Amino acid sequence: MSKLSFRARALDAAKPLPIYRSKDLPDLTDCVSINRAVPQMPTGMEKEEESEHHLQRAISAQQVFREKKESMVIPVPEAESNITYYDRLYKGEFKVPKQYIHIQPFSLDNEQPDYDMDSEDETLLNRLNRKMEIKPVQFETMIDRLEKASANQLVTIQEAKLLLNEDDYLLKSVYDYWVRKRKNCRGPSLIPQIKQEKRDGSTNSDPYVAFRRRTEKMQTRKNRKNDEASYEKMLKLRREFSRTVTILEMIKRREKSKRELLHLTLEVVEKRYQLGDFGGEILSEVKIPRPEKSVYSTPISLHNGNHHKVPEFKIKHPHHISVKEDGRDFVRPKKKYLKKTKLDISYQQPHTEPLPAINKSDLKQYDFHSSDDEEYLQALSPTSEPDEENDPDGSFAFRRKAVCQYHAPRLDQANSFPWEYPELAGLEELKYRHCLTALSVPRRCIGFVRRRVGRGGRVILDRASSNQDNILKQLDPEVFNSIPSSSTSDCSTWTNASKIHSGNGMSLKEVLSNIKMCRLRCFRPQSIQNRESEDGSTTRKLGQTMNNRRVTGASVALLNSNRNGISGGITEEQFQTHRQQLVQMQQQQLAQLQQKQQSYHSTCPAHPNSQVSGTSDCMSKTLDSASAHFAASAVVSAPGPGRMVSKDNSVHSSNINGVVQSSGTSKTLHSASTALTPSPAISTVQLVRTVNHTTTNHHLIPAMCTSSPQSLPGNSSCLATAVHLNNVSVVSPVNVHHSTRTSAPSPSALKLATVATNLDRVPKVTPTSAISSIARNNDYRNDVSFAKLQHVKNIPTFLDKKKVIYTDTL
Amino acid sequence: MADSQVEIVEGCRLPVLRKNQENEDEWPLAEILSVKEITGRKLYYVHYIDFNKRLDEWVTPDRLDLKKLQFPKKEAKTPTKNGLPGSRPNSPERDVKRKVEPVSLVTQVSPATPVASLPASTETTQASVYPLVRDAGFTPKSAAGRTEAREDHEQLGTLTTNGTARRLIPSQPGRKRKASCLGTDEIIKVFQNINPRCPSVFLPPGEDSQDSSDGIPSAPRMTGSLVSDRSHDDIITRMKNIDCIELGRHRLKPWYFSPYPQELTALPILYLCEFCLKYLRSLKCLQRHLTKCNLRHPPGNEIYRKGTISFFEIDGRKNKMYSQNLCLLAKCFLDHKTLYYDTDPFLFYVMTEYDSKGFHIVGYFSKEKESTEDYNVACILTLPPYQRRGYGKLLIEFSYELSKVEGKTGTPEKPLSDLGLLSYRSYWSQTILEILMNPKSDTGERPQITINEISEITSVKKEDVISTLQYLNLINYYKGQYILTLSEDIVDGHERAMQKRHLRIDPKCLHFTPKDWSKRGKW
Repeated sequence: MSKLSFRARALDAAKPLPIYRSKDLPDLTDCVSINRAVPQMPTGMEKEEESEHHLQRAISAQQVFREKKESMVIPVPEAESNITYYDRLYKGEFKVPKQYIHIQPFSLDNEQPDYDMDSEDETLLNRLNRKMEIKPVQFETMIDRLEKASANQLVTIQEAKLLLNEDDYLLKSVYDYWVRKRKNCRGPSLIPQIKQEKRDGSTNSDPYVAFRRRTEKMQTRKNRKNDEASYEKMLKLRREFSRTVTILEMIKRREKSKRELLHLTLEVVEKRYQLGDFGGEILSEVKIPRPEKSVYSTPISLHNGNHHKVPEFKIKHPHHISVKEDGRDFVRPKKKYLKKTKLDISYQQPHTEPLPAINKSDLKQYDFHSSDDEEYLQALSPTSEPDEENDPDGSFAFRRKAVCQYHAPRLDQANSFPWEYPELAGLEELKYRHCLTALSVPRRCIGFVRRRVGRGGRVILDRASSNQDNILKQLDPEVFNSIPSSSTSDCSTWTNASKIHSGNGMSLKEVLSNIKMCRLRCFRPQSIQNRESEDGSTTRKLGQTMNNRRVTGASVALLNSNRNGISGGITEEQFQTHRQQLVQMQQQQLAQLQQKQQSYHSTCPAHPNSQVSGTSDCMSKTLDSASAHFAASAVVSAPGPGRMVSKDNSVHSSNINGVVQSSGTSKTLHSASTALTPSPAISTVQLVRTVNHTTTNHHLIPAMCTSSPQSLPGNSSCLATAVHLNNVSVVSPVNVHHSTRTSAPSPSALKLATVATNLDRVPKVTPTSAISSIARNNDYRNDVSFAKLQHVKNIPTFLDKKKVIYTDTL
Repeated sequence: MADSQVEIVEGCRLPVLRKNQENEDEWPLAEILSVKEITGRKLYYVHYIDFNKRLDEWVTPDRLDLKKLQFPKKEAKTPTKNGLPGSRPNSPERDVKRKVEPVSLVTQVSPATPVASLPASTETTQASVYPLVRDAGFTPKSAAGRTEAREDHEQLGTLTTNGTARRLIPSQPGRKRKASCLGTDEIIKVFQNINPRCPSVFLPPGEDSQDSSDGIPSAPRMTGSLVSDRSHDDIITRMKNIDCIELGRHRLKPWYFSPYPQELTALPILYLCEFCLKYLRSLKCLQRHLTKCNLRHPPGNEIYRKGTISFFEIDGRKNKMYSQNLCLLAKCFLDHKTLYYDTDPFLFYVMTEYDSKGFHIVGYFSKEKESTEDYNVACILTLPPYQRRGYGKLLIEFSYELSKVEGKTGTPEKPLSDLGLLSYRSYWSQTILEILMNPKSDTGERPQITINEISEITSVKKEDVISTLQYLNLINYYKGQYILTLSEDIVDGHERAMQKRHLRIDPKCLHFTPKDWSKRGKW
């Protein structure tokens, strides 16, 4: 009745179930077994098979009889076990060993042929045996080898011969027999084998293919990969843990030492107090015989691979500080000085300084729970002491901060001005571009100065003190003007000079002579246009450079790049003299070149490349920094053309600096020429500046070309910047085409070149004209066509020897 | 066709005479799975509905009750020729198709005149069972096969070649093997006149593989040893392909398909070496083999010996050859066993009985080296000659002894076969009842036990314990709690059964150290 109304609890596998016999529970039937809370377990069989007749019958029979009944078994196909020839087949007896059988790893691989002879083979064998003796195993081995060698195709008789190495007759007969048998064979091989899977997946559903390889999709593989990764992670973890342990051990050690130090210090103080050693005399007495000892020497090496080596630092007792160390430390001497004065006055405690310092810092450390670095710092740089309160500097007195690290000056860096350390002169030259400088307005020499550009274009002069300052002060600034040029910054001479300088005492005379001999770099602000109006404190040249902001990027680039090579400005005199030199040089070179050219012409007209290399060789030999210097300074000191380039498309002849003028006089130096190309498509204004390069007649042309975009709808502007004036190789490796008149690789370039030279000829300008042109075939897609340099060599007949160095960057 | 007014085709159902165990005549309903002709007589491969497949057999026409013949239902549920679903042999739709397709109407050709051309006449409206061979459209390889086959026919209908040369595709429409259906539209017909083992081949046009319409079927899962999903099943694997196997003293009648090399399936008897289980095509070969094979026990380590019973452990990776041979043999008796993948992840425990000739295999079970699902047995088999003598239970007991050593509970991999279910249930019942009937009655109180305890003691997985308790109807709800009640007949039945159970595993004789396979780079 109500027995179905309650709900049985779920069967709990962990709950004890009392075991009853049915007879113990007569009332059990009333309590109808309620199994609904016990989930019905699946049998584990396939549904459709579960319902099979015989199974059901067997199950029900079992339920009824609780015992297997013969008639209720599931019928299976019969098997017979009366093979009469069994004993003949399996010969011999096998004695069971006492021990459990343990198979030896390789005992199974006996090299027996897999092929087994059948009766057909036996007949053949019998026949063969009449002529020769052949054992069945031998025959089987032969067939086995033949079979295994024939994967897709039967082996040929020749292959078989190699394979079997048998008597010819035997081989022939066996081979023929095998081929015949193989042909009649129903299977793929005479050795029956399980069908193998094929890689193409065509056998995926072939029921006769079995034992396929498990592919890499296998889950276990994935696990293996995971294993690897996690293994590595574990390794890393272990490493890091061990590192942590090491670090902790070291911290422990450090703290122990600190405690020890503290105790010792306390002891010392106590003892001193007992002795009444308030002035520290006893202490110092005690200390004197002791050798210098390093208090802190804690090279810390971490185990993480990068060894952080803390430089050994020694705290020295004050009385051991030598003069040399005074130079090392900027702070300490001062302190010491203070101490001394104090000592003089009343304190009489000159040498106790380090102790309280260390004490204090130590105490502080505990507050900080310092890291190694902090500790190190504090040990090194004890904070300023309270007893310095009557420091004359008052609130401005230098006080060390707890967290800051103060480095002692490195001895090798101190006072390392190039003139003192000649070995650094070359390297450090850029860093310390100090040169002798004189000011115009307070007309005096101010010694070594380094210029740099400050905010708003101001030029700031950093003065450097040297032990020659006294002498230099007496120097007449006019001396500078008498210097031939600033080209004396030649490295070798400079080095020599600095060597001379490095000596301490140098007389005024020597300095003067150095200046005159151009062994010392000198600088004096110059004004090109209105020198007088210039402010004395700034060097005019640079100032102007900065004012001329409109100078095109190209020229700025030039300026910048040239700074590397040169240091000084150029005076007009310098320029003039230099120009004269150049003219001379160039004339010589021309002469040389003409000779050379003839030889080139006669020998290798067809190999222009060799010519290039030859000339570039020449150049590299004869290139000198003076000319480079000049070339650069010419650009720098000529703001006019720069402005002209950017603003107008015409040449300001009025504003052309000396360089331009010189072009009329000197035959080779052609600073600017305009080549107005007649072609409407290329109406560009080209400002070409040539810079002479010494022996070869190659003119590298940094060409600044601006085209007016309006007139050039198709062609874009060409801004050519040639930065490296003194290096031809920049240009040459790219795409160098030397051409004689007719065979220019780029027709447009050649055409332009020709036009340009023609134009040049009209005003009777010197032959060295460079034209940067925009190649027509570059049109529409080139925004920038890099320098196209054309070089016309021969002066008198500049048209018959023409070289186009055509550099196409695109 | 001599005896048929109507054509009996695959898929037809009709009562078929068979003798039951009491040797009485029965006429259970059966389905025709395949038809073949031998010397003019037709043979039908029948599957008795609701009987296990192992009883399927070739029958002569006189055992068919043609009066109750049911033709395959022309179901519309199988919509397309492509992607025929299911693996059931009784797929009636193919017949319909046959009729529809013009080419497919093929007459039966008399065995004497094998035909290699398109049908000359259509005798019946029934779909033809015998497609004919057409060489056109075959790839060279298969064409060669066909040609060969034809020659054979011409020579006398001989046949042996025929059967083996061309993978004869049983005429299950809608399921043909991929290899043979090369996308041709031909109907291929192969006659086998003589070879009884060769079912006729039928390749319906256009229908592709039995697998789903997407062509290449996905590979089955790689764990476990059994297939529960029969979608990869096809008619070939539904039919026994080996007639008889000789193993040592025994001749075995295989129950199911086994992928022995196909050329061997035509043999009347397949010979196996009793010890290494190598398959050989003839007695002579076996003889020769035995001169070279000196094994007298399974090629593994003996881990148990008591009396004449020994167990050998074989690593499926280290001894592939033996493992494969064992699997091939086992497959003859295990319907759900799959041999799709290699044997690497398994260990094989072979039970042998010793006599003066050596250690004769009685049965075996395989076991995954690492099971993700608590399986302690993958496949388990007692060879038919040893069945119903307690060896099966011995195998099961041994498997649980191994689990006890490993300290795990385990369960056999599913699905179980009918015999497997009976054996396991019997083992579980006896094992659990053994515990329940001899409770450690401490201090005279009512003994009690938890399911977990039973599981721990026996290494039988908890679920199996519960299902057994349920099956034995031991669980009752009494006065607010579950109790276990042992009824008289259960107790009596158990006692009687245990009296018959002589063969027991003696744990003391087990020399077994479980290996941690996860540590050894798997398998």
